[in-house]
Amino acid sequence: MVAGGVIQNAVVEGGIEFEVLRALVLRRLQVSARDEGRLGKVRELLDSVCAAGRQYLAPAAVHATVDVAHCGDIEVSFTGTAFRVLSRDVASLLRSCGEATLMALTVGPAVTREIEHFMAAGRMTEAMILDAFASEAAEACVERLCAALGGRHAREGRAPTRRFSPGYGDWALDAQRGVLEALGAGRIGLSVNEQNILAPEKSITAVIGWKEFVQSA
Amino acid sequence: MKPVLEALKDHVLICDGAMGTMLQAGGLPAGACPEEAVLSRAELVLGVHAQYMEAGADIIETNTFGANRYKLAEYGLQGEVERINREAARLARKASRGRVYVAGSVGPLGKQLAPLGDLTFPAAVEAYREQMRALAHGGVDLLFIETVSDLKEAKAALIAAREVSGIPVVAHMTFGEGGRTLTGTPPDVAAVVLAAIGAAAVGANCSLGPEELLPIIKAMAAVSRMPLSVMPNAGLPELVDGVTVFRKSPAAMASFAARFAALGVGIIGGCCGTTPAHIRAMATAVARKRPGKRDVAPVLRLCSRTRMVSLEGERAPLVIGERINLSVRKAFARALLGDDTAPVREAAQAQAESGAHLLDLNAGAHTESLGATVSEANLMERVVRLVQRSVDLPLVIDSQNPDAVEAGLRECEGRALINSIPAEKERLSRLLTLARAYGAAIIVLPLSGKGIPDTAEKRVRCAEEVRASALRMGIRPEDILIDPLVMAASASPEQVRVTLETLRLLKSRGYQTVMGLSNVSYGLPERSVVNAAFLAMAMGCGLDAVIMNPSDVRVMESLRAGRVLSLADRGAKEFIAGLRAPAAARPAEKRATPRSLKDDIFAAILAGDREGVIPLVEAALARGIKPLDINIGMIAPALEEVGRRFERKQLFLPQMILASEAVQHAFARLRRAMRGEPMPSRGKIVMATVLGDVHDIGKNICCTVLENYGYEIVDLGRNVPAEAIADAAAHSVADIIGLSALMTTTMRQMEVVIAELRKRGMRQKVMVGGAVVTAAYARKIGADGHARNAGEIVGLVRKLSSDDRSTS
Repeated sequence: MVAGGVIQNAVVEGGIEFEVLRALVLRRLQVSARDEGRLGKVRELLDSVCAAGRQYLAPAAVHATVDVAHCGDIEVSFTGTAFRVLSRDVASLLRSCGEATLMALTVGPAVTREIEHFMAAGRMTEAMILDAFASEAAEACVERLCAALGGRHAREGRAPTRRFSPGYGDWALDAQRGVLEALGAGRIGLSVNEQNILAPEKSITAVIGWKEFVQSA
Repeated sequence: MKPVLEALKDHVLICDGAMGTMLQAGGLPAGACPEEAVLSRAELVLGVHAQYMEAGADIIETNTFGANRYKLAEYGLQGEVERINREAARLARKASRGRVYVAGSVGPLGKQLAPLGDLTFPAAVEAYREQMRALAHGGVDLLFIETVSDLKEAKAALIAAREVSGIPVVAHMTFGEGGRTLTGTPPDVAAVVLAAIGAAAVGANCSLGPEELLPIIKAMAAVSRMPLSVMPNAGLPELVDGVTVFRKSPAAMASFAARFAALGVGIIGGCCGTTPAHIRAMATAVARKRPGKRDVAPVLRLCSRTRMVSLEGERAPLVIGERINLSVRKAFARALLGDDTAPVREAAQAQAESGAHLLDLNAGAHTESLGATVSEANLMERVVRLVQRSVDLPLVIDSQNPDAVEAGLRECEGRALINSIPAEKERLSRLLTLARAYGAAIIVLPLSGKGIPDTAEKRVRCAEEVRASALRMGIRPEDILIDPLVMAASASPEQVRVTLETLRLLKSRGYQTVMGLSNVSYGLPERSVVNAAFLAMAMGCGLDAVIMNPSDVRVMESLRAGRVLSLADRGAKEFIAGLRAPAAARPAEKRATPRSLKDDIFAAILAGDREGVIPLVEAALARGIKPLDINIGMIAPALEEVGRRFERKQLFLPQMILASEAVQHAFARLRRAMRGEPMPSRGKIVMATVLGDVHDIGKNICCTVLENYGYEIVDLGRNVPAEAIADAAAHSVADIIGLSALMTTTMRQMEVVIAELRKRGMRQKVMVGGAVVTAAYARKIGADGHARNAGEIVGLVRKLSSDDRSTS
């Protein structure tokens, strides 16, 4: 049992492939995909900002799959790390899971700097579009990561639970610090401030459980 | 068994229901690759097929929905496309025992096509080809394209299907609750485009329940004579305890099955949430029933991704905008080669605003003369892509170069018209093949290698030869337009009469006609007058479509007046509306009186033209108009209109922000002119993102909008402690304090700020906002108001200010 520090088998991954669905970016901008044709000049900005936006994204993730050592009503502990989850919601999510993956992902600081540049130049529309694009990019990267993990687990007969992040349900946002420490997320440049806000801004921490699948006869 | 298309004429065919959930119920792990089960869990897959056959399905689908190289790559199985599809087809064949039809299931690739994503059209076709070839080798009777939401992707799938085999294809798209696909395509457009490319049946599956799919299928039934297919979910999905459930009972599904059959649907099955019990009930309800008869008139229908234009009697003549012609407009080509897209884009938008129904695109620039070596095909591809992004009109691909035509058709998202196909053997067969492959309609040119036929009879005979070849290729009569050939009246005056005679002769034989108008006036002065007169004469002969400059007011007025006289515009409604169109909506070119500066500033702000508004403001200043008068008389009305349109959902949030930026640019220029003299203020507002929160894009946008409306803003930035906000509000004598927070954790700081203000006895109004802030939360912490976005902020501030006045 490791008392603290970084989980030994934590894996750092860079160069995650992803695709940002335009309809989702539009939704964040409160525009339905069907109205895209009515956006006029905004549509051009959308094209150019999203196309240029990719160069500011450098997705990197760190994740570790650990055994669930104990899952009580409100507390979950894992093998190989002192990190514990205190949340009824997460406990019920991981109830029948033998393993869980802790993950932290960021698309990097460059895109946030670019958003600030836009704001400083008074180009609010571009700032807003790039902000929406970067948020969706982070989501898309996590989805891709989960799909890859899911494929590996599926071959060994395990199915995923939903992905769950600190700040949702009763899992306090301050759990982010523990997740980052357990994963050694500093290695991908990810940290958290006193108010539990992640830096870089476009980042995600989460846990996902893996339950053994009962094989049919 | 009869061939499936024969059987479809006799009676409704029942297709099976959901596969994935059945496999999971049978023990396949939730995260596992469902398609791989045909290799490792064959018995399980066979069992699902058997259950659906036993329930009464006439068609079973292979377990290959995601068995393409991109989806399988997510499981590291991209090398198994051939094996999985072939095996899945073999399993279904084995299960069918020759008693039911086997459909190869083909779902979306899971990647977006360019320009939205990275996937090129040829790469998409290749991926589909790989999967479909294996399914065909495995012995499927038909192919089901399913759950595709991008029309261009559905086109790629259909083209691939037709390349690998002659197996009939049923093309389904998936629609959202708004009745359109995720990329905005309505059902009638989907039906027209997919049928044109050669689908044996078209339809809808997934996403919605039968109730919601009913109007979608109705819309398809209204425009297509094709057999229809529908595979609804068992109702709309509901999330219960984190699990998605579908609640429609087998009996409910059965009653809808009967309604679908009556509409003329020939294939009825189930998607998510359906089980053998649903299929059994549906099979019982419509067993052996003949699909309802449909009466759809054969009409030319052309589409963009989101819009359909049809050539029905009362619409004629359709206006085809001719302005994007790189062979005569060198400036367009030069701009495009230098990556300046504005001229083409603006020409597209101007023509659309002036009333064009379709846009003709000609990319035949002599690029060598411009010092570039770009092929016409490459230019055509760029022009098509650009125009599709700028307007939602269907396109006319105008070229004599088959490579350029193919590039244009490939890039086109909807259903295009080819302009034009001459009676020259080589080009004829290549162009007709392209029209068939991409489902395009055609314009026939009565022009052979021997030159221009000199009499009406000869022209019609020549056109009829091309028409006959087209019909032999399977092109429908309603998809053929014939051009009577227009010559310059200055060079060959007697030819004008021949053109009109040809037109009359063509119409007398029931053919549809189109002509390029402006050739007639070549070499004459006042061309627009000549064009208008010629158009009136041609309309008198029954012209169906005209290629012209829709921004030419004189010709458009002649056209509208002609429609009144020919009873196409009964009650002269359109004609009168055209005369009353506000100045801003009138065509930009050839206007009798120049548009006023006020109109131009108004239009620039509404369009969000940040750069364009500055010279207009400068022009107003140069005319001696005072900055304040420019503000009140020119900018403020535009701003009010922006607000009105946003409220009516005619403008969307990002457009409103862009318009606000245009106003900021205008103001910046005015301020310079005022040399430090202050603008009048409607009030002072302190804005801050609260302590701990660093997300202040929303607040910054609100500041921009409020400044435009004449409020003086004190922006404290982000991560601001409660005391600092209270200090600043007291110091600056603010009327209103605006607080923003993005996170659930930081929004609690808003309450701290309000407590601090009240502790100091400050009574200013406080408004709050941010992604997670709700009206209920705002009330709970004692805030005076809440705005969901920057679009609501001005209304809120006005309300808070008037509350103030009425209470003080």
